[in-house]
Amino acid sequence: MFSLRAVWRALLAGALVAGLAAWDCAQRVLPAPAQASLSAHGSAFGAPESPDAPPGPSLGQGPGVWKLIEKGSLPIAQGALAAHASALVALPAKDPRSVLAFWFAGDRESAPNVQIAMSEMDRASDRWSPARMVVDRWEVADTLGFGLRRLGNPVAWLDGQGRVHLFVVATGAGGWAAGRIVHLRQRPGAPGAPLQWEPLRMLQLSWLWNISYLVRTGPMPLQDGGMVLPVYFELARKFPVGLRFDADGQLLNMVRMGTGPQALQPALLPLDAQQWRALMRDSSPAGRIRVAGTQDGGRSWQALGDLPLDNPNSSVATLSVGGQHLLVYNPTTQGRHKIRLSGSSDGLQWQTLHELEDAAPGHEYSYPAMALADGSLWISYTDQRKTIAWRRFAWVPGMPQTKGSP
Amino acid sequence: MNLAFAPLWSTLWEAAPWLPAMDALRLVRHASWALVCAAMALALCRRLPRLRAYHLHRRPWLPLAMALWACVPGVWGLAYWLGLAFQIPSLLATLWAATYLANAFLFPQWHAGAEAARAAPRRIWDRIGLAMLLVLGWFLLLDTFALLPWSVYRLGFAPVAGLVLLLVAVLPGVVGGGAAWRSNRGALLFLLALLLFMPTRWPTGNALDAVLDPGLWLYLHWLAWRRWRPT
Repeated sequence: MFSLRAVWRALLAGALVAGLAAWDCAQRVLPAPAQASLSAHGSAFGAPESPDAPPGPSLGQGPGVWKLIEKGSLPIAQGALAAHASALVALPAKDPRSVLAFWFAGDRESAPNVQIAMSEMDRASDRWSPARMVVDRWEVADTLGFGLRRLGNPVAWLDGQGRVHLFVVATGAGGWAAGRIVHLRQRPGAPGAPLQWEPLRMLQLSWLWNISYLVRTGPMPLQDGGMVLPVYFELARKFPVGLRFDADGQLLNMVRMGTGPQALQPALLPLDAQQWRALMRDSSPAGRIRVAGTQDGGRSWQALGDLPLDNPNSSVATLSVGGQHLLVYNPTTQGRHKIRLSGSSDGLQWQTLHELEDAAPGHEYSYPAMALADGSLWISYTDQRKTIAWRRFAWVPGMPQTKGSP
Repeated sequence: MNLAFAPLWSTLWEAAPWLPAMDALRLVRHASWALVCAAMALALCRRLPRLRAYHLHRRPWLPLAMALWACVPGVWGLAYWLGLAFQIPSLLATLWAATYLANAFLFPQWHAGAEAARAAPRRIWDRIGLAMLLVLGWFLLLDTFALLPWSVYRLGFAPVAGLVLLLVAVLPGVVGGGAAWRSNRGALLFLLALLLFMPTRWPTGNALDAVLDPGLWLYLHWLAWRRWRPT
């Protein structure tokens, strides 16, 4: 039997462990179940709508068309020969800027001089501002206290306090498979002043030297002001992961959206508050868009097969508005020379809305992003790896939705 | 399950991560790499015959140089580049390195004690701990590549991981008392790493990162091979 001494030791150890565990629990919050953000009209946003924008009673609802009203290319960052992987974020109506665009620019993808460039759509002049470099790897490395080898895909998000957050891929010792995700946040400043950024931390997502988690597609806003940031792992195996953040930008949890082995760059599509889809690039030879789904607000995910849409192992963008789901993707099995905007009411059957680009093989239009601001749908995508093209659509209600072209 | 326990149960498993403060972490990164690099340099010196005869305890130039180099901030510092590749060592690796250096330079009597303890027959807890960390590392590696049906690493951010690891860590003391700590210094370092992790959250806020990093895990394989190889 146990001696009296052993019993005392057990009691002491138990008290120590229980005390530390209770203290640990007291320092934390228990996240409520995640609910995708839904408007009063039943719309949910795969990319953020301008939070203070007018309600837009019929955006995307009922019969109507998305009509192309403007198009162009974002200003080229000074000295940059290449541009790729744009991200868009809509700002509140009180801000003089309606949309911010971010992308990586430099001599080429993965070049040592690649930085994150930004341009702002000015509401008054209705023009994009000159591009400026806003994230430099040497500066970020200096703040974090360790080196970053290269910068890559940026993703932007507007938090519950109206601050813009940036999530940027930064590689360690190796290529993209050694990527990590840096979390930056807008520094406090006067409204309308040029945005400055402070690195907050490197997101800690993996035990293996924290490598091989990357970000590419936009976040899905939640009702509590937080969001789910879709990321993916890509060392040898590829699989998607959802990171949940609160309205302040604090990481709450991470959940695998499947075990791969070839699905990456998930784009989230909320069907309702609890039922979401993830549409993913497929790096296998199947040439399709892969789908995973959750019925419980992202706690568990199931593979749902492929969409009946061609895709050449290329990133997609999604957005839900007014009960209509939108998808921008490359509708080919090989090459990224075409890019298309499609719509769907259930996320499974898709109808072509606009051919954004339809060029000869060898051209590249890829890595799309979408945002909804001031009642307009904004789309950006990489154009020949040289510039970032953008399109602006307005919802015209009452007209039948038919295929159109820019 | 009794519903009254549901919130506590959920908190243990699903509470949001509690992450370390970034400012302090910069210093901890330098200090950790300084200790680990100095310990590795010392171990290397002890294994090279020409350096072994160099009276390291009186002239520890190489370990000292490595430590100082790791403390240099910015691109000229070792921690900057080691951080690029390997981020930051676990607390257990750092404490292990600190003990190794202290044994060599500050408290040689500890070293004698450790040598005596190594020969003692009652080192069962160190062996159990070694086996446990090896298995844990394999689970974490498989989990990294999503080869397990559930995520192990994610649990390291939840309070349950700290609780379970603490329960394991205090076991030698409960069963064997102070004598168990004296003869099982690895188990004692494991407990100290957790006690340091609980308030500071170093190095990442994940309890599993506090007790095991891939570099330490590889070293433990070598240690296990040395200890258990067939003679």
